[in-house]
Amino acid sequence: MDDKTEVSPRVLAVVVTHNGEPWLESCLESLSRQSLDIDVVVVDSGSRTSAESLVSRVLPEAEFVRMGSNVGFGAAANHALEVATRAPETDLFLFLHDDVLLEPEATSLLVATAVETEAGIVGGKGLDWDQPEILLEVGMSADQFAYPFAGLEEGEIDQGQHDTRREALYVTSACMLTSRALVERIGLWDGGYFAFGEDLDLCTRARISGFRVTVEPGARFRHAVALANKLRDCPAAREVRFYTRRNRPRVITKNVAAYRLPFVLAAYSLLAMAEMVFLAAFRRFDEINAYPRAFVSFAGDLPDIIRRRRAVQKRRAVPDRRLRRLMVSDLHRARVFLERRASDWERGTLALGKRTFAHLAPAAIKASAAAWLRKPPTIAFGIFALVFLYAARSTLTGAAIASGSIWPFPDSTGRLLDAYLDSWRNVGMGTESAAPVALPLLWMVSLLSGGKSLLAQKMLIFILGLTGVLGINRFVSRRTSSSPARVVAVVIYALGPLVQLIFEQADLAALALFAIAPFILEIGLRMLGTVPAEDGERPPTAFGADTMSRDLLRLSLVTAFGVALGPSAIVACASLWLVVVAHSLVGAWDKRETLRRGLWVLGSIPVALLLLMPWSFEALRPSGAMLGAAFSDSYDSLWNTFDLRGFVFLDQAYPWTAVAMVAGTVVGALAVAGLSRRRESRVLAVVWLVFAAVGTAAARGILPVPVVAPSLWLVIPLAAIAATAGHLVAGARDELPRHAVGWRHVGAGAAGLAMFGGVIFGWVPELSNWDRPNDTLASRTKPGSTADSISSYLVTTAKDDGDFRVLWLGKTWVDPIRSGSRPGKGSAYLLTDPGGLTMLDSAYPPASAGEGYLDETVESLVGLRVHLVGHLLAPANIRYLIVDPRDEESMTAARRQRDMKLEQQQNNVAIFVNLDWLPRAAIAPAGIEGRMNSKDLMTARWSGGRRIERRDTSEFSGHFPPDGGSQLLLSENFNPGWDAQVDGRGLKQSQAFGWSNRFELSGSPKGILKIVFRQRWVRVLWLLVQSLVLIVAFGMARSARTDMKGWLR
Amino acid sequence: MIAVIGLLAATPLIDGALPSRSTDHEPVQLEGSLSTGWYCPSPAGAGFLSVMSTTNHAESPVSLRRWAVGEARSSPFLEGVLGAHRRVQVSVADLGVASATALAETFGGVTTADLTVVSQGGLATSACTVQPWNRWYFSIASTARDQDTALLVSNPFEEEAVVRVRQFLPDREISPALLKRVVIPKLSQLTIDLKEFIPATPSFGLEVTATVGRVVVSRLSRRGGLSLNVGTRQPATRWLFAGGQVPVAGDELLVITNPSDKESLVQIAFQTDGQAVAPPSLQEVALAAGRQLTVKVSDHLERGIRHSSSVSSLNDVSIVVERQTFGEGFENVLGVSSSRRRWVVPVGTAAGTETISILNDSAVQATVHIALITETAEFRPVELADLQVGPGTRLSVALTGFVNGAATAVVEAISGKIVIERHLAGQSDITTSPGIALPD
Repeated sequence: MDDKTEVSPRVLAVVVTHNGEPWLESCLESLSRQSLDIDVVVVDSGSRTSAESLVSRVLPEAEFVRMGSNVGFGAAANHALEVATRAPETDLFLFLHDDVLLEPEATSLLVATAVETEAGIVGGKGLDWDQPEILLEVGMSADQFAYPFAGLEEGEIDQGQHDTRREALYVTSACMLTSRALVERIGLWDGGYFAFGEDLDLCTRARISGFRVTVEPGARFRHAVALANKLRDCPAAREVRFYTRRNRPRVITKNVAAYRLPFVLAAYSLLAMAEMVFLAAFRRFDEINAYPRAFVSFAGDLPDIIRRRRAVQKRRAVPDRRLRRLMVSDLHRARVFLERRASDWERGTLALGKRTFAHLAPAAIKASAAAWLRKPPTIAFGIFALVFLYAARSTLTGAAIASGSIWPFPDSTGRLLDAYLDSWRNVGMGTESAAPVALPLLWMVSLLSGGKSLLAQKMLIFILGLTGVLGINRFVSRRTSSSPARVVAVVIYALGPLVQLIFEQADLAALALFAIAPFILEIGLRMLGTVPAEDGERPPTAFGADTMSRDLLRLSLVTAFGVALGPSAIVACASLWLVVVAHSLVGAWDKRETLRRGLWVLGSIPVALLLLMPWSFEALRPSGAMLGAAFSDSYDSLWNTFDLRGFVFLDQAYPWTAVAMVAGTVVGALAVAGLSRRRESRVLAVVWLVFAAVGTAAARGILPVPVVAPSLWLVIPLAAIAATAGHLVAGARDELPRHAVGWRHVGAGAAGLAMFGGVIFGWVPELSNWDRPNDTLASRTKPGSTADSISSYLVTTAKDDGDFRVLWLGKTWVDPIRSGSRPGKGSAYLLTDPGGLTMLDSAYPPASAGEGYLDETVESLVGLRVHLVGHLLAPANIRYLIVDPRDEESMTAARRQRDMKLEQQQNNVAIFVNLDWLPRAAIAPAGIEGRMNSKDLMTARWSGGRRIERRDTSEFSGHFPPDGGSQLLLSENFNPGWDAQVDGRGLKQSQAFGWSNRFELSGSPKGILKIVFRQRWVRVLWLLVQSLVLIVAFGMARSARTDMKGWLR
Repeated sequence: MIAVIGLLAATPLIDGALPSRSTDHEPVQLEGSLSTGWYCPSPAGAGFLSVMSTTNHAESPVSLRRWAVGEARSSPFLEGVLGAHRRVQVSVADLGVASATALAETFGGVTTADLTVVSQGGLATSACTVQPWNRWYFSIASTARDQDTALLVSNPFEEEAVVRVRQFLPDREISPALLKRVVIPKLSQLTIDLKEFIPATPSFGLEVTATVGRVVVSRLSRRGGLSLNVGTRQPATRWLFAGGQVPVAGDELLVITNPSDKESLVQIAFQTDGQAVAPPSLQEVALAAGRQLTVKVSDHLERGIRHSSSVSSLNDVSIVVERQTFGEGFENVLGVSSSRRRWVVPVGTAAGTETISILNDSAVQATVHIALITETAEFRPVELADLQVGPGTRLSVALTGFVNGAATAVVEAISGKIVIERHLAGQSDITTSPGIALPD
């Protein structure tokens, strides 16, 4: 021992303790058993009970320092070194946590390694306190955001696989040997950390100054990790997330080189935001507040951090890139994270045992399939599926539909997403208003189809139809085990004449509402507590806020999904909630619980709108997509054909079959409801009645039209009727026999027979009459057809001569319910790109100056007020005018135009080309002034405009020639967001023709000309916010509060 | 439940009791015209003097651009401003293109244009048209020895046009082989002398179809006198002629052509100054599809009696009707298919007796004013104000004393709807111009 003392450097072990009674005694005993003679100083950092007596009993020769409060590991260790009497003559400092137990040879091996390698810091091999065969650390690494990384598998057994002396980025402060030279060079611990991260900081500072950090695996120690595992009674244990998130940017700010610092800090901030979203999605709101607090604390410490950074960087001897070699890459870290999650899942799955998967054996599948196929419901649903496919054969097969609001998908899948992301929308005369949320949804459908545009449309229709069918099946099956009830509800919901109307009118909004109606009925009724229990009584009202909020989000998400595809469906959804809530209040007005639930349900509407950000703000304007169509007289012609009978019997033609089915369903359900107290049946009947009454009043002009088309308005009553039919069948089968036979039995039986007759003998034969809607011809739907050849011709021309707009004049091209127009504005017309209508054109923008100009131009054309309409269409970039020769009014107008050349005429189409066409962005021909009004334009001469190439929806560029004109015209709605530059020099912008853009080309500029619509970053920001909101909403709606242990460390 | 059953049963009654929404949408009305183009095909040749007149009926001046197209080119513009309620005229020859269609383009306001042609063979006035079209109809044409018919096919566009001609004879219809594909170059006017393509045929109707492009077609006829008429684009079920008089020497013919593919049942009636005449033999005349029918008015009315005529299709099969007068001069007149409140007609072209015939085609008393517009002034003679025309009756108004040189007469009915014709009996020829309708 004496020999060793003579040859070995002096070592001072600094043990920092704080409420560490369970481990400190063992720790001190292990120090007493060290093979190397060391001095010990124990610093008590504000423990509740002083450790002095314990220290004096176990290690009497140790020095004891008591601090009044808990200052954290680093500050306590610093204090110990300052006051310890043996510190001045010490060569090496061994810093230890109080929950560390050293093996006898550990210190000597650490010291030997320090001497041999001249390392500034040496660490050992950390093992689990209770299970010493499990590895905790053998040197540590971190990613560039200071997230620690041990590089070990979870629960990895120590088999000597890491027993090689090695370099590491850092070793933990649990057991760390540092040289005096290091302390003198880079200073002591940074006390600002309090807990977590100070070891990484010290080691990083050591490495920056040129010291080595080495791991000696032979130096084994056991570590309880009391703080991180929350075993220690300490504020830091309760606030692990706060301290780790506060300290990581501190490590980054102090140590990362200046040139990388902004990027690393920005990326770290994004990562922190993503973590917050992740936590919110799993309803861990209490943990989210650690992030803003950590940020504020970090910001408050910034002056101190910057001062310390200066000192660190002043001593920098090693460049950042050499340190990064010891760091783990982010990709690797992400991979490890996912592997562990997969491993967790696998463990959980395997834990289910072999029996769990026994039913997946081929023989078992075969047996269960055979049994399933023999079941009457299966046979019934099979027949239903065949009938449905037969009825919809012409829609699901053949060419794409270009009618109503269902249009073909664009040829390129990516265009849907591009159109959504672009800051400028190429719809109508151009608009900066946000693209509809439907576009990314449609893009996803397009992706599923492998980019096949025709298949994508069929899939969209099929997915929505199937979702609605499954929804009503789910609705009924949650209330009764009766299979006939499900079959009847599904048949009525899927095969009713309304569905035929939806298909014939190609009403995407109604189809979307068809898909979501059963779900919103289900969630809404559940939230209102009208779902009956087994005994027919209302369930107990013990829903918590957590359950209600989850249901609210589900309701909002489903509503938002439907409204994204059919904006005016929001009115139908809102009406449904009002009816249901009002019914509940009337039925139980004195119950506060009903009011509370009603408010939750009503809350779904604003939340749904928020989920539709950023579109909802645009669409909510009075003329926007959601409310613009509703409450206007634009669609009166569609509603005028309906009356009370139509709305009551959900059928425009109301044959006896519809009358029998609806009357049978409602009367029978009410008869059963009277006996069984199925309150929900009455609610559904009220929904049906109120929708019928409001629809009738709208059709008769007493109330404004609530939604675009009656088919959309009738979806919810149809869902109510289908659900009611399920109730009727279930009630008649399960409950009526329990009671004495009475008139209700007779009534219900007769009603059931009427319903059955209506369905089987009326609707099913009518299914053969289902037909696909009439195409508008404005889009390529049938290969080889006239419309296809026209579009091909136009697209080819566009490729050769640049992009242009096409004006389709007359009712032939325009559907009465197409949402890509404002049909109330006099003459019918359509404005498209060369390819015709596609889903890209969904949600026509609100009226703007450009649209007003076009409206007036078309009115002048059709009103025969002009014979040089090409002059007016030229600045609007309209090159072609398409007219149906059978439409005499339009043909008369078109033939009158002297500057429109009749390029082609066939039986059903005449194509006029505008001889005065001006490119979308062009150097204006001489004599054209942007200040001209319509009358001036008539006498102008347009030839000579030179095109600027279009690169993107919101970008044009080209080379500006030396003999250029005096102004640049951009045929988009005027917006200050457009910016034009020649070789980086901005051009003065002004309004042209009262609606378009004009840029002055003064001073004969030369060079590269670029026109860009800015504010893209605003759009990106919106998208980011929207994505975050949706992710959070999905997560919150998915499940209850989820344990995140081990997910985000 | 009883209430619901009651509702289900009572839906028809409730439907009947509820008011209905009005389905009428107010049409969008925009004031004034941005631009108007008048096309006036004029006969070529040294013997013709063609003068195009343009009249501004608006309360403010309009920009006026006059030019001509022919021989695959267009002439320079003759730009100017036409004052409110003023008339201006220009010789087509002065526009600089021979064998030309004269164009008058006006920007703003409400304008009309007409063409007067004088030659040694006679005098003719014709309205110009604003509407190029791909189908033109004439009920009268002839390649008989004493008659000439030429078509002036004008293509004022920057695109080639191709036309096809179809003949409707009393007993058959023909597509002359040489007129199945006649190319009209862009910015050109082609004169098709039918005698060069069709053997001598006393009478037939014509349909000129542009299979490519758009054209304006006028017909120049000679039968002792001269007649120039722009064709009609659209057959109609009712045709009205405000004027008419069977000459002492010669005759007046109503020539009806049925260009459709269905038989038409035609009814013809006359209105003299004193009474309505509905000959029994003309109450239901069958006219087969693609056939022409000629009715001699002298078989039903005495010679020298002024009258109006109306020709209607009883079974809504559209027809084309023209009136021809020959003997004491020569004229072909296309009827008008609807009555209006305001009409314009060129007057005062040459010396002679000039009258305006007014037929009240409404069920109310019509009070009519006539105003005269010249190059320098607009004047409204007191004698031509507050003219009363009873429901269904006609009136002839002598203009000779009020016209001193070329003018445009604006005939306006304060109440009722009317049809007008201007009739000029010159020294050697007569000419009749149907009115040009103005917006009400």
